[in-house]
Amino acid sequence: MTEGDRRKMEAEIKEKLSELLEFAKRNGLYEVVWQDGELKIAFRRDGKSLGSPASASELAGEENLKAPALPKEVLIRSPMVGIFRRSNAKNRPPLVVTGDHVKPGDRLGVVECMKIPTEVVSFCAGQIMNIFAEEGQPVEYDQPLFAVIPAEEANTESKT
Amino acid sequence: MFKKILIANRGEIAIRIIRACREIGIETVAVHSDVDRESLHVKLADQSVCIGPAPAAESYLNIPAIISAAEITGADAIHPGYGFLSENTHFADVCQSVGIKFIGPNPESIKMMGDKIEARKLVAKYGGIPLLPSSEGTVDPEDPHLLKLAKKIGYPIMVKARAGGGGKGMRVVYEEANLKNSIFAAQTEAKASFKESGVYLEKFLENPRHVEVQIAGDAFGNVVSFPERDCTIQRRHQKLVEESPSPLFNDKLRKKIGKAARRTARAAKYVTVGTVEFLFDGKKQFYFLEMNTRIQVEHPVTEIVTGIDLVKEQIRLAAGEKLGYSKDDVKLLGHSIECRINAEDPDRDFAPSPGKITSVVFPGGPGVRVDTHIYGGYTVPTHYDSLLGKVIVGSSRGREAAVLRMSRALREFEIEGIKTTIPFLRKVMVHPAFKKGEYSTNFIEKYFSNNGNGNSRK
Repeated sequence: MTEGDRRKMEAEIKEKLSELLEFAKRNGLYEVVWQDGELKIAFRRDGKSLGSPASASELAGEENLKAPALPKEVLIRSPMVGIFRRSNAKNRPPLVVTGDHVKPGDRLGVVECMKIPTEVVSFCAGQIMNIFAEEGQPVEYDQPLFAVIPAEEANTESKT
Repeated sequence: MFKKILIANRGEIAIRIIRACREIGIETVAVHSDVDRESLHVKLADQSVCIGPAPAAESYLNIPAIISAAEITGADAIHPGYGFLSENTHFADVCQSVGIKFIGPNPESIKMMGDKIEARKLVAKYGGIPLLPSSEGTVDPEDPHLLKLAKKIGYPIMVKARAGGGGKGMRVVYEEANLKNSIFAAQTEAKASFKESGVYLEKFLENPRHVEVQIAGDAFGNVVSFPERDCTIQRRHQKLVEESPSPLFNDKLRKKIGKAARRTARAAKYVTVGTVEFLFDGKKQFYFLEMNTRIQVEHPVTEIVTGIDLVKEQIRLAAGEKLGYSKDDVKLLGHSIECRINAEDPDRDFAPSPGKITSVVFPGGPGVRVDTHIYGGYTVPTHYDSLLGKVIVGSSRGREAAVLRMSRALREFEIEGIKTTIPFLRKVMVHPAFKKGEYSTNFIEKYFSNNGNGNSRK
């Protein structure tokens, strides 16, 4: 996920939280737990009346905004600047697709730099949740390429 | 003319190059290591690419990564700045082989001038350029003719690395008894710094002045030289203060050294900009030292005294344009001084002082120029050199006015959060020897040793 995407996600979460706080106030609720897929927001309000969404977020606690319940994913980043390849040879199928289970050392892709390929390798066991770059896309050093849910997390997640 | 230039460098010089490109209308690509994400050159460029982790070997010196970045952004030229890959023949070769223009001279010129022995040979053969007596080749401590050769050159003798630069792989020998050991020591240092242990002998001038001449050449054989720069004020072979023209030069010497510099450039078949360095005995005699095949840190002093933008010249000459003017068209318009500002603590023997710059106030006003990449809130990383930027002043009213202007500018310049050499430079500007223009390469050692406070307790 790029810096831009992360900021966008945080903004969406803040918006959702304001929405939920309004909902709670209107319906006289003191405790709310909301979940959508892997994203979960939970808060408890005290008896004071809620003012603007801004102060509501203060009551809800900064922690919920700073570290929302994001999926416990691990990012596999590009080891080099170059062109991202999904397979290790032309006309071959991609090395991995979303949903695949991987273990440490598995090859997930290749970054080509001056025609020299460098393998992108998983350093953990888990399940591929997201692939952020396309075949032939130029990528920077350290750019996130794959999101993997590590094995323990993947097993305890309830499939929705 | 190029459409897009990738700057293979960082810090203040990367910004300098971006500015020249902007004014010509060329798009810019900045490359950076992961710790340089918030660096000013990254913010100013049209595009940026992260090419590696902090260590220079994996980022700014990483040839495949830089070429890759050029390919994915479609850059048609690479400007190497100074340091890093700017004098790396292999890099220039690689650029050529992938069809990306290296903004600098041909790989052959870089190679010739990078080997100090070959450079001397070339210059000696071309003629008309004075040289210090030397061994004319590498020396072997076990050579039976060694002592005789050294005697012929005459002590004191400097042992120098053929692949050297930056003051490394050098030893001064005053007595015959120390010659062999000094050669061993220099060879070891040369091997470690440059991977090549060859060393040669050269007559050592006591307390010389370091005078250099900027040159520019086009692909049609035309060469011009610019008024000399005096870079004598150094600490551990690192330049601190530079000025143009040299306070000890007159018109006659200026013409003579300009001619020697142009001859050197022609001997090297030099294209784009470069600098020929000389040692000056302080009176009438100068000797060829070496040639630098890149744009230099101190180029702004020449820009100010001539009104010519050297980085733009460098780019357009690399694009194949004709020089379009001769040495007689280059006028000396006044006096200029530059002070290099480093993130070092002068009270602690210039120990590096990285960290967060909490606030900055830049000097300004008439005749003051600041070339820097720092800003309030910027964190100076530990992985690279300590140069924060340069203050350059110019005055059409001569040296005294320029010195006063620099003093004034340094008083305005405030950097909070880290230690810098600004307080030290203020002392240099008011020192009587500097104000008189009478100093040699031991100026700092002589007047500022022990505590950087201008007290010589000897």
